[in-house]
Amino acid sequence: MPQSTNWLSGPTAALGMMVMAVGSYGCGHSPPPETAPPAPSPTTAEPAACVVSRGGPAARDTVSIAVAERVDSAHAPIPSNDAERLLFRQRFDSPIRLDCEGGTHPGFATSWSPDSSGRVWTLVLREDSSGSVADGLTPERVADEWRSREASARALQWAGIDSVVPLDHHRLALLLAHPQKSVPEVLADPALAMPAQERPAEPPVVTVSKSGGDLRDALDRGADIVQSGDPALVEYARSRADRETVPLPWDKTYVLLLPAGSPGLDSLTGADSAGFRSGLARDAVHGDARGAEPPFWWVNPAGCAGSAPTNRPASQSSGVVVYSRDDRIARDLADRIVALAALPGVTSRGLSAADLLSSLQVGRERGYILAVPRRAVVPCREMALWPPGATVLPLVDTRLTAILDRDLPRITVDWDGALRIGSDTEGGPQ
Amino acid sequence: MSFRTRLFVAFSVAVLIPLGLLGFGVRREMERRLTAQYQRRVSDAVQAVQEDLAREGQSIGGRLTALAADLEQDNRFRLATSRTEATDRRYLLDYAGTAMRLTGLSFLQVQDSSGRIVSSGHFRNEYDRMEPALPALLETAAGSPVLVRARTAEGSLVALARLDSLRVAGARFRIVGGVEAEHRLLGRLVRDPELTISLVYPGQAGRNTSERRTAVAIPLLYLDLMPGAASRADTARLVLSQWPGTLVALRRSIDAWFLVALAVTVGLALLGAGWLAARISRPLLELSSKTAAIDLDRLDQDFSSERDDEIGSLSRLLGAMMERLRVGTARLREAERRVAMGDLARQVNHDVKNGLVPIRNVLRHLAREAEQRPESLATVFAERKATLDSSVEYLETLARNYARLSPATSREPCDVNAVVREVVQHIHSPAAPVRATLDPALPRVRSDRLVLRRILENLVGNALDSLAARPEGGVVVSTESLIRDGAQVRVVVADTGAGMSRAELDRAFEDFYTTKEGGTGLGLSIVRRLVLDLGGVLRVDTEPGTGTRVTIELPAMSDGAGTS
Repeated sequence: MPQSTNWLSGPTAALGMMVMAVGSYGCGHSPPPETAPPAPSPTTAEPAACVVSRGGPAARDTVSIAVAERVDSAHAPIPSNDAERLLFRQRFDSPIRLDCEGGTHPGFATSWSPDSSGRVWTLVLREDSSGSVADGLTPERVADEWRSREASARALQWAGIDSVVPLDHHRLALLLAHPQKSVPEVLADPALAMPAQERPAEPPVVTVSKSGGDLRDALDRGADIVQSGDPALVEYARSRADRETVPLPWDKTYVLLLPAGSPGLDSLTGADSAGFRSGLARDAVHGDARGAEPPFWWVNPAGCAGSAPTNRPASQSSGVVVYSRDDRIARDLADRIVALAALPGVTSRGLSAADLLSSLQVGRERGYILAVPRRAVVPCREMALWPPGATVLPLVDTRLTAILDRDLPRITVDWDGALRIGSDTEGGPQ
Repeated sequence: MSFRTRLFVAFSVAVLIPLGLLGFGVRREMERRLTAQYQRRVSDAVQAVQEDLAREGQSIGGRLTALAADLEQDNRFRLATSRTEATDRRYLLDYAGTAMRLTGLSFLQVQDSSGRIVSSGHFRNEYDRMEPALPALLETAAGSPVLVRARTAEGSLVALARLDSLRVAGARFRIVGGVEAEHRLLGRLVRDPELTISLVYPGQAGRNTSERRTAVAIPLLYLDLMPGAASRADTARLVLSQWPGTLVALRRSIDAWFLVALAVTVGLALLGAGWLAARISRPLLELSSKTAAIDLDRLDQDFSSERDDEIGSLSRLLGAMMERLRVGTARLREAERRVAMGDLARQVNHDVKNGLVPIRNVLRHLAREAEQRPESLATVFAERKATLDSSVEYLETLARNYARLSPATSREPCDVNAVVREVVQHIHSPAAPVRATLDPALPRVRSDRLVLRRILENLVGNALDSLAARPEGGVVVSTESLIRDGAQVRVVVADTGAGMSRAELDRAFEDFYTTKEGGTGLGLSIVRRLVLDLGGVLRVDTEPGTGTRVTIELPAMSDGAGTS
């Protein structure tokens, strides 16, 4: 992961507010490219629903972002929480970008095209002003990086991309197992992202606030961007005239996963009804939630059969519904499930992320409350984490609210709910 | 069972029983006193716990009353109970949690009049569940706190709870609150470090109380609200347990010291018993050994003892018996000798007669010839002279033979010192000196001087022979008088020669046993026989490499016989 930690003060850099200075990309201070890309693609603009800030009239040299969750640069570019997702998105580029409605936009690939069979897709990488591949991001380097990074290789494997072949100094070919008519969405996955060093900004500076994790303090100190699902914080932001609050797209779905072999929670009557879900969203959850709404990507995913690792079916099930102990919404849902089940011995318990993942692999708990992405570009990879044969009951969809300074550059929302500051809209399919 | 074993057993019993009784008594008394002390402390603790419970109940009740008063004034609560908007609903659901934290309670529920939970602090998302049994039981408790096992998302919570009620917008609400009992409350109740309080309620998971002793149990009304429970009133107990640490430590200390004392005492008893057994049994074994060695040819065992106890008396009795046996044996030998002398006399008479008969016949023949034919007397004498010669020769031979048969002894007053001097002067040994240490007041003994000389010559000769390989050694002949069962004369021949082993000593008095090249093996045998004939005692003390000391004790003559 070259140069991925230069903007953090250490491997783990936040439990509180982080202020990251981000270059005012596209805001008048950056010089325009001297030469055009060799194969320019038509410009596609993000839909209005994906634009949370259209950009203020005044130029901004820096944008400060405050987060309250733990940020570990060792995770980059694959985020493990919302804060990492927000920060990593500003510093890493994937080959393509998907906006919040699924529209494709150039990432570090400016254009892409299939061959006649639909099995070979050719990406043209971004070039800098001298006509070279930007900052040494050559096809060879990208291919090597993807092959050497386990997460990248697994993402490509799960997405059905058999091989990645550099064609010349700026073109990269992808060989797919099955023909596709549209560009593979896995190319927007953070697992394939590369450091976005071509941006003409100064290296951002990260400082850790002494706020103790209360983002209201960060707002008071002038943080430009805060995203949160905390109703109290949102209510506080709404009370301030210099801030606007923008609900972001629904980015997560909380599910109750019942492993095969689990006795289930039969006393939960109507758990698969819309009324049940909306009741949970209204009363049980502290946050912006709604009853989970289809479509659900885990229902009949294409190409996952036989590709998932085989786990041993659970022979004995505990009476515990487990959840991530850092996730308040998951805890609320687990508590409500336990309360409604009213079964002797059925309780809830919060686990660390690592323990939750291990427990999920074994699949011996009564049930799991999991937060899964509302949209998945590699569904099979997500499902591989679940015990085989598990029953998945969607519960609620949740979303964050962006609290923004009113004088900010253009900010859009990606497919996974991540904010992207100063999005580049040039390029696209050839 | 040997005498030694009996002594061991007797000592052990005599020591262990009193010691055991002492240890048992000390332990029992100590336990009785400490138990009484514990009981007083437990009584005080029970009273303190009951007062604390009452105080805690009042504290909970006070906080609930304040909450109820506040709720009646809370417009958002009032609106939330009558409207269904999401924000109002969320305020209502979160109310109990916030209020619980603010009031320091660990259990709080707000129920409507039907028993439906409208807000729960300890389990926020159990809202809308029906739980009418709890307020019903609390109402019957008449203000006393009730122990409630309430459900939480993670398990259960046992709380000491009380009830209050309020009326908002015409609807009645009941508010149940309490404090967590098992850890937070119980930890405060008892301050005695050796007393602990624990909660025992139906359906409780087993707890380890093996090291504790239940002192007293205080009953409490109890309601189990867990899924599957009966939700009816039951009884829980606040159990005061004592940790008998002091008692156990004291008991262990006493046990340890008792064991030490027991070990030391047993050790000393064993040593004492061993010493006593040795002191008693060893002389007895020696007496037994000496007694076993007695026979008519060896009546020289020394049973003398300086002890003034029963062993000494027994030894002296055996010595007296030995003396009587010696006297009896001497008499018996004398009688045998006399009998033998009679037989010998008859034999001599017969033999002499046999020798005299031809002589008498020749004499009668010569007398008849002299009477009847005197001229032929010379012829006849010549003819019969051979008969006379043979008869005389026969008689001479007979006399020589009888003379060899037994030396003639005479018993007469004899000066032992003079005999010793004579022997020492007679024996000139260039290899080793022979010294004499003589008691000038030595009484005389009745003996044949020749016999006494033979005895001393044999003993001094043997002593000189034992010095053959030790030229630096010497021989000492000493005399002394002593009084033991009458006046005695003791003669000691001591050398610093090779000495004898036990086996050699046992056979030294046997006929024809010798360790000397060319020896006859008769010397000591003859010496002992001669000493016994004189009514004396012979004793040999010897050790290989050290030397030999031969002691002869002879009866002295009476005072009238004079001294040497």
